Amino acid sequence: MGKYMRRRLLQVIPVLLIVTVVVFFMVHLSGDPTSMMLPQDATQEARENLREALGLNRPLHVQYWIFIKGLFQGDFGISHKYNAPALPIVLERIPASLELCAVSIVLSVVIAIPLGVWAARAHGTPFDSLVNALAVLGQAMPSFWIGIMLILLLGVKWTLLPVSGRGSMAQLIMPSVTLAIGTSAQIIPLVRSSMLEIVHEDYIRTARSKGLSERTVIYRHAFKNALVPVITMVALQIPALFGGALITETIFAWPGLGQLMVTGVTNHDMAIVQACILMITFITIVVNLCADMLYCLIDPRIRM
Amino acid sequence: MGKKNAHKGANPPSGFRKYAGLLFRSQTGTIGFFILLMILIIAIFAPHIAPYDPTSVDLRGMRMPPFWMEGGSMEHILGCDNLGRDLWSRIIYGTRVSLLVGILSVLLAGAFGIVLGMVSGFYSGWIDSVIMRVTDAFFAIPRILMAMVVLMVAGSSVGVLILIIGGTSWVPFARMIRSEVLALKEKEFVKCSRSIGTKGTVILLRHILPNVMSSFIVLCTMNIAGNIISEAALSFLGVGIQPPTVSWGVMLAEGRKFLGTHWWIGTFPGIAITISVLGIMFLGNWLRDVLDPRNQGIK
Amino acid sequence: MERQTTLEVRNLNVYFKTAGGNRTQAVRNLSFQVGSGELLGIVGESGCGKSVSSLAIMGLLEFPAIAEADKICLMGTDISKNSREEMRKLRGSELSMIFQEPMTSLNPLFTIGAQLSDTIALHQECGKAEAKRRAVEMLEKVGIPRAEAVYKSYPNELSGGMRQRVMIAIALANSPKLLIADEPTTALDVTIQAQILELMRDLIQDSNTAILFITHDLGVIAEMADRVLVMYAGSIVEEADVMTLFHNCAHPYTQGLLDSTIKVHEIHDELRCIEGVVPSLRDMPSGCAFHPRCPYAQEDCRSQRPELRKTAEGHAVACLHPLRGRWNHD
Repeated sequence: MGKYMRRRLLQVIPVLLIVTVVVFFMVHLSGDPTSMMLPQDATQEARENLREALGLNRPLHVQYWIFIKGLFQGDFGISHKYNAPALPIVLERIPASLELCAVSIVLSVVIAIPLGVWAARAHGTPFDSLVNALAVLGQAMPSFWIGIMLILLLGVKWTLLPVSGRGSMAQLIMPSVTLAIGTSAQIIPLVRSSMLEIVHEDYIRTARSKGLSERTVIYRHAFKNALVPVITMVALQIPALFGGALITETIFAWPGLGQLMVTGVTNHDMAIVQACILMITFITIVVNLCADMLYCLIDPRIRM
Repeated sequence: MGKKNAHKGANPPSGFRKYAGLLFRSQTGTIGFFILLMILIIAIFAPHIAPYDPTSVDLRGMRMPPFWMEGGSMEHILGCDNLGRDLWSRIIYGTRVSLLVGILSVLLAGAFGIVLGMVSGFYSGWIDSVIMRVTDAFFAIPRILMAMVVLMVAGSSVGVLILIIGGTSWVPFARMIRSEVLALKEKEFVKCSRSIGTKGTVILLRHILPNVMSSFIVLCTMNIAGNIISEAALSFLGVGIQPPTVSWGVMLAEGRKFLGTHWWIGTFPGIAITISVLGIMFLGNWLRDVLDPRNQGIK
Repeated sequence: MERQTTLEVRNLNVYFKTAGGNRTQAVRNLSFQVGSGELLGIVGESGCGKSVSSLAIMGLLEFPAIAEADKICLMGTDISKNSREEMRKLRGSELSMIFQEPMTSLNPLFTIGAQLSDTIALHQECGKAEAKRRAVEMLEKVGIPRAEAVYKSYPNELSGGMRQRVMIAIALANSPKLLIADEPTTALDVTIQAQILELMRDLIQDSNTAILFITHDLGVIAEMADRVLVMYAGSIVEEADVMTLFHNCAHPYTQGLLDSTIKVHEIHDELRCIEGVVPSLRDMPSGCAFHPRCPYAQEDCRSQRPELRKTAEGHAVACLHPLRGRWNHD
């Protein structure tokens, strides 16, 4: 790949480093981690012992160094709840999370692109207004409420779909639709407005002047150009998607990273929480890089 | 035509009247404005509007459905939750937390983001690189995860919630302001004042700051909507607002448990969130259309 | 002349629909013809309806612009009542167009080759390999060095002049009967401009393609055109062959245009210009559209709209008081 991709790859290293700093300091500066690991009535002595055991009495930079050394050795700490190293527990959950997020991204793109293109083609008609209204509504509804309403209607009232768990296709439908609604609501207006802008570009007039059919002009020449901002947008949505996945997984008891993290927080299992947040962030960065790569493939202007 | 001439005329309408005029010409803008106004009034006068104390338990009304259903009554128009608390009153009180957290966290994030964005865009070089990498890092960590970790360690209260939602949502501000400053830096009027030896900080505050204000205001408005949803999400997950304080997120979490039998408990708080967010987004969209100089004269 | 008439336009009117169902007229009763191998120049200031007319002929006008014409005959068949699909088939094969902005007229996300060979494959109904061979040939013909490499490159890798050569290759790829060149050199550097003009002249010399050459630059007209239409505010004000126009023009507007071009061999004390601006479509002056700016305007010019009248063989003017002998160019 070109200069751009090399630069993007190099940028990832400091970002990853900063992420570890941020996570580390958030955990250590926002309060005393021992206070939530021990029962309320724990003795001062027990507290001190735990602090000593966790190395919390050492200077911060030393603690950070130990933390980062551990990460490189695959040591993400010991989970108090599971009484086992955190990393394998977290790794085990990754496929479920990736499955859910991948399906939702695909689903939201498949929903958003045709709707956005058709709305742009039908600019000013009732169909256009309807799509617009749906997109705004989709953005305004919190994903967890959408999930609850889906359970209420499809799971409880009409009992069409299972409301929790993972394993079958049917169980995948509701959580992925929940996530996809919000994401596609963000993408639709962008597809629509970039299509509207692009049909007035000079090169579209050129394409028409060559006698290309309207289909070719729209779906080949205009669409490829409209895709560029859409990819950027999807890449920007990825952290939000993983954040949304956290709640969605909780609602639908989907055994992914998000659910693990939420239970980790409820159980005050610091190692699990830290490992989850680092892992999810790492995945986010990798997926973003992939989006950039795709962007490069489509737009030759970036490739140089 | 007449409007256009009036605009050019010797006495253009003053700022306020001009925008008021523009507002009511836009349908969604008007709707958004009235929704926000309504929410503000409800939040401020909640004790006077709410028919019941949101935390008072009425055993007779336990799980009472909304008034139009069998077993419902006009005493509790939206019904009651599992403890017999009036849902309508709870929703009214819920606006307080939502708006408070939404607005204050945006002010925090906005202040932080605008400073970082302006510094980063104006003084390029290593300082820009450092700020942008930090921004990338904060962007890559999903906000809700970051907030959960901090809330877990620090314990949760409205103050912490505002700090953490604000402290994790400044990234779009910094990025947008930076890119605007980068563009403005190349404009003639900035080059001009540089050429006559104006100090960097003066250029930044006098010439650049006013020019990024309109995008900043739009982004602020849009982020209030986003942060209201963040607050509800965190409270829904049990790490945000803690009962007995009333929050829409907490209500949704409670309602989720009774989904099979008492749908209204989990439905109405969601509608309240959706309407509020919708109103703020409408207003934000309208502001974007009006304040965007490229759109000037269209509306 | 035994030239075959390639294009004949009679009474072309273009309107813009405005809010409230009104319409403003952008082009009024435009009639002209152009023969095979002929280069007809159309001059006028920006906003006088040149580009809109050419888009109307191409069938590329978009809402809110609407075109009406008594007839637009291409090679003897009227195409003014053609369906969109019929027009589409003509575009790129019989009719083609070069636009003003080479920098934005090519799709940035497709290779030069893809954008050139798709029109060849479409209209010549040949396979991909054959289309590519012809496309490379075409690129060589328009003077692009390393045509094979350029075929694979993207527009952003080429200079403005090169892109305009590509546009010319696209326009001429299917040997059209009529080529419309809408200010093809305006956006280019002067040296590149000369190269492109020369290229166009070479390419048309050995073909029968008729050319409508739209420009606001009289220098370019003098260099390229056989015959010239001068347009003002949507109408033709003067039509003449190029020699007549430069030495014996009859319309005050043409005179104004000629006066305001810089000539190397004459030293004026100051550059003369036409006072005022082109009237907006919405408030056209009554009578002769040019009268508010015309130094010779008389009372009747305010009320009476002049028709295009033939004053000599191949010379027509729309003026109530044409300049005749009153103006000595030398």
